[in-house]
Amino acid sequence: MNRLFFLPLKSTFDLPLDKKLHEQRINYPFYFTGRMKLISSALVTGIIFLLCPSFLSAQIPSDYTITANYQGQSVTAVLQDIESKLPLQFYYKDNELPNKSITATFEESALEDVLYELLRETSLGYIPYRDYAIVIAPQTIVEESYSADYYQALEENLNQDENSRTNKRTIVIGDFKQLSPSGKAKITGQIIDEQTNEPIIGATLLWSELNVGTATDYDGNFETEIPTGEYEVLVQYIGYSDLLKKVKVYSDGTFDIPLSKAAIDLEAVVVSAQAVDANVENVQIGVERLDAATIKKTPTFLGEADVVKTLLLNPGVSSIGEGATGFNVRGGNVDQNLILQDEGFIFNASHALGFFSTFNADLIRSVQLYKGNIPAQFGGRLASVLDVELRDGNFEQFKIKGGAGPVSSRISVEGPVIKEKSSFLAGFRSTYSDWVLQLINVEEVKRSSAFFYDANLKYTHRLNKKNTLTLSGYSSQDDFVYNQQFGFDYATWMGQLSFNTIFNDQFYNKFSLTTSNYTSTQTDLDPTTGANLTNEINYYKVKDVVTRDLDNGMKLDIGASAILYNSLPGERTPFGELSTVIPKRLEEERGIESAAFANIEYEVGPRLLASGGLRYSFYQFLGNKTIYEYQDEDPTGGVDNIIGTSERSGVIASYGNLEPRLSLRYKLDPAKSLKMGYSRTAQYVNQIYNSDTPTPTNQFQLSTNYIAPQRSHNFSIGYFQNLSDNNIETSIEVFGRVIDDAFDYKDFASLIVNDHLETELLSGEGRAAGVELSFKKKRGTVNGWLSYTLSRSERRIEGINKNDWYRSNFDKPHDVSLVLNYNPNQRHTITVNFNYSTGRPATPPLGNYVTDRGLAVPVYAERNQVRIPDYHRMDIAYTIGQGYRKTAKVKTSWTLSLYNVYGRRNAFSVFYTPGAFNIPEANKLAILGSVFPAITFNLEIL
Amino acid sequence: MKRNIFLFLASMLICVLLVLPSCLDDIEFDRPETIENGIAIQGKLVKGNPSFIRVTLRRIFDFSENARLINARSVILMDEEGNSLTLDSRQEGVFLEEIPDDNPNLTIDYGKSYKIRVETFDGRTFESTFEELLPVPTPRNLRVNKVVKEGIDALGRIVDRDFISFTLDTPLSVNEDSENVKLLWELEATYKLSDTPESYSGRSCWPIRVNNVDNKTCFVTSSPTTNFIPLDGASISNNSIEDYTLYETTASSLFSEGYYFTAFQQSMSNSAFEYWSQVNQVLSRTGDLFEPPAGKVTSNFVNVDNPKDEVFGYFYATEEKPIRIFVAPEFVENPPNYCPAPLTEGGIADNTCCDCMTAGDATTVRPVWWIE
Repeated sequence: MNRLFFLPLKSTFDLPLDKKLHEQRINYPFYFTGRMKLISSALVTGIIFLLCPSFLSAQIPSDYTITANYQGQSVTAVLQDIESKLPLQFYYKDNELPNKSITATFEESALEDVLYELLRETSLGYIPYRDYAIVIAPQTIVEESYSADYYQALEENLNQDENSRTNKRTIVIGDFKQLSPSGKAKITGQIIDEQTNEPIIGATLLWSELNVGTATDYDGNFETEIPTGEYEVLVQYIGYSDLLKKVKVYSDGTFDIPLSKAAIDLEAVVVSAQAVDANVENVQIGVERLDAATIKKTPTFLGEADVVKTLLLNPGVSSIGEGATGFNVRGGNVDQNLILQDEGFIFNASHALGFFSTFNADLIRSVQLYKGNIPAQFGGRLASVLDVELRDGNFEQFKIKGGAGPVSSRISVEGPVIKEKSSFLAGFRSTYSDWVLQLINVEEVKRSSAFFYDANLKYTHRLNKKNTLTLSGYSSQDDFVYNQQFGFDYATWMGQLSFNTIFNDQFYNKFSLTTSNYTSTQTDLDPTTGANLTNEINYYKVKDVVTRDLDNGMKLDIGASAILYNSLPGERTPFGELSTVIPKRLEEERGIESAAFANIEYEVGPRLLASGGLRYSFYQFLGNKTIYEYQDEDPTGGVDNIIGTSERSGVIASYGNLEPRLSLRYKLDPAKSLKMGYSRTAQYVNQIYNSDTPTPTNQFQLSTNYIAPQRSHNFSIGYFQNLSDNNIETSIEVFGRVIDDAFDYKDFASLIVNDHLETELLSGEGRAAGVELSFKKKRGTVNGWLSYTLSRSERRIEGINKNDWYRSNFDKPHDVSLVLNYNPNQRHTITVNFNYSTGRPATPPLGNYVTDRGLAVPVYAERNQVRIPDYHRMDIAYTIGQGYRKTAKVKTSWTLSLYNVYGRRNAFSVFYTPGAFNIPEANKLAILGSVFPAITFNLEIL
Repeated sequence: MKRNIFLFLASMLICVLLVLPSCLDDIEFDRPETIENGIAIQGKLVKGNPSFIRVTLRRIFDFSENARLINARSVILMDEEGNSLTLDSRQEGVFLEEIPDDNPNLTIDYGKSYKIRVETFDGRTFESTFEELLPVPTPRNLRVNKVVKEGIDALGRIVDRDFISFTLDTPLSVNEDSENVKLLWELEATYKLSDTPESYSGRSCWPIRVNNVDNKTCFVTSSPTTNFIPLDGASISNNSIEDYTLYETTASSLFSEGYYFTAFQQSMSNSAFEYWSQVNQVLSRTGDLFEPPAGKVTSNFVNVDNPKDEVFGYFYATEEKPIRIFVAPEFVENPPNYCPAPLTEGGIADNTCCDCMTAGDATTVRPVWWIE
């Protein structure tokens, strides 16, 4: 096993003070000052000492000393001189070395000191490899968490001569006789995997001398226009060896490039499959991206890698508390998020009510959350789109992955069905969580039980080079019994078919069919009131998207989709022989949501990139259905306003919405940009709940003739800046949201098996606004992010709070998240996260009055006038990752985590009971009131 | 390196110390705005022979103002036909009137609707909506049983405990052909309590001197903590309920000399039932994950001159049928008498044992229905 370390850390204590600071600065691009610096360095060094002593072995031999007198020589000359004196070799790029002359005298000086002098006041660092090579590179590269693999590749390359390493055999593109008068040539080509011939999406080409780059598209194709001439082109993709080619360009031509896999484990090193400068470059504003590695190392409740809980650490994303279902984005309700797994959407993505999400992290390729400015191809929800994409199975070899934690175990198997032609990916996760419930300090929870599973199966078949067929299935189920009083049983299944066609390298199509069903049952276990309350919703969805890359730098997406919903809003049946409950079943409801959309991305100039989209959604509420009729057609007056019913068939109600989407990015310079976005969104399916958090059995209600679809204007504008060669991403975003036809519930609304639900709803408007600050360091020994959100979310509903604006249930003005990863190498990571947020609103009693029999009846204030205590929590996780040996057949890793390190009893809710002299006293309910340690074991078999 | 370990540990300690105090915080809420001149009006018209109506007016307790009874200029009962009856004030804030069947001004009958109008001394006029008087089915049987149920002890452990359970059998409809009705039970317990002033002889038993006070026996009436239960008969598939649990309590000294449990079965209009259901919801809040938010209990009073003026409480008309059961001390295995109660730590005697008349709603007159 290669042993790695970062020299400056090791040598900190042997150097004079000024030098130490310099070297700390090299290692931590956050230049800490004062107490911060002290704590950070103490943390880092302490952790290294305690946990990773074995990494302090590779170093520059101490007897490597230099005696020389340099008078105005270049850095290159000095390095060459050192090479001549010591048995080692430097690796560097000439153009990266500082253009300065060195005047210094060294007398038996340690090589470290000499290098320090050479690289002082530059952004360069160095990595010693074994005892015979030193790589000089930008500090951000030196700090890459996957530098182990870099070494491995380096080791292989050291065995080759320089010429073969860079493969400098000159490639000729085009014909000299066809040299364009403009002096420019358009070069197209495809980057493929050398072994599998599969196209590589997102690989980058950099024409070094021109500082011009491009990236491959969905099919691995690229196109670039450059002046004719002779250049070096660098081709890179994470997980593959860099390829450096010398190319002579005479005229237009093609250039296909095979890339070979690096001797590394892709999953272990992938930080992101996006361009390194995506933060600045991308046109979309308000997008959060997660990858499997980030999700897995983030400490979560009981060590369960969790997409949603990781998202909660990002700006603009929050939840109302532990155990709450779902998440709130920029002042939106939980049900205003479209949660996609590939092309299918999931109504309930929570296990164990809300403690875990249903996504199996082992199967995830990418996670993107669009927080406000949603691309035109998505629709149907107001606030956000969570787009979770699953991997394809491995086309080359079989793999088994598994893991066991305190509450669940998981296993996934993947491999070829027909080698290089078709593959499968299967994953299963199940729980044994009852014992954990015994640890929770709420007696009712202790008397509860929980079971869940989720399963995924994905089959991918490459019919030919142009066509790929994918079939996938998903199933999940939860059984939960609360305090032996009631239980929940809810299940989702989903089937998907997608067919991708590549017509040519600029024109492709994706067609998908999805069907899904969500069923939930709540059981009251009381002998006399025992009942099963069931509701169900299913849908059939068809969608087609055509993508065309146009010649003038434009990219066009056009598509259409249609969703047919069938729902059973509620059915109540008696449970148990003694039950006296009257059975009741509401009529089923149907609706069709169809949409046509187009989006065009156009590079207006070198600085300005625009993406404009238009989506037209059309919804029809269908019969047959019994419709209540109300006096003055006003259901808000309640049941007293009902004047009759009528049987309706065909289309009962229609709604159409034009939903423009616009994104602009203006680059101030290569590392800074301004972005803005606007989108109009409409939502035709709502979850009906008036508890703090939705329960699994809260029905999904289609828009009807009385319940109009909610619509939202979403605005955002932001400034984005990358630092330290894209290693640090900063941003400030301001967002606003205005919701039309928002609704809220009457006090004491009766929502269960209610066939005139509209009488319990009140209509109005909503608004939300805020500022999100984000600071993210992507690489380095210490990396992570800090995010802060200042926001408000309010509603104004006729009939509530005297028709004034009031806080929504999830209004949390301040929300801070800090995530710090300390990873001295790819194997060991310590992650600490801290979250603070303002307590959410609650409704307090103003006082009370006493009845003649001495009963104190509380008088409650207007809705949401006060806040429960603030929330904060710290978690720590230590991940011992997989070893470096790619050839190992069995790989193991461990995660040790502490959730809620200081055992804060965060209030989930506050309720009041009569105290002495009938004065109302506040009581808080804390769901997780102690520290939760967990250890998770992960296994991978090749 | 040792120094770094120290720094590491020290920095972790600092982090913990910085956040630890927050674990100890109490819930202290900003007090929301108060209701100016908040008033609660409670009225109940009970059909019987004679029928009677009781109306009380109270100031809302709002942390700054006591929930005291307040007087009104007039309180008038009205029916749909325009008949009215002005109620007399029996004490400050309490208006009580018996209405015999042959009252010439206003009769109380099933199917008729009634409302009240209240004029206060600050010039406000409140009026309730009309409330229909509905008949109530006669309860068949009230039982007392001993049951073992799980409870939570002082240490938070689940333990088996003996409970005394009162259950009811009753039809849910007034006759076989009619639909199930909405019911409300108001609960009441009356127990016998003999004081023992001689056991505190020579001691101060504030506010009374116990010397030379005779022993006596009181009949003390109290309401259980949850003293009302609404039930929507329309949600029940049968037209009667059997063994419906009204109240459960543990055996205590209250049972030592005899104990009567009374349930007043009342008929409810839809809106009155809604009111009591809402009261039930706000009183049984536990803050759990699935609980609907608290809200304002709907009143059926409105200030006729200013509908935005908030008023609380409810007026309803009902027929009330009581049903009682006696629990003999032997049934609960003769628990020790409450008196003489031991002195408190400060050496203070228990007032109730000095003089049982100090125990809330107490009387030395045996109730007419008290049969042992």
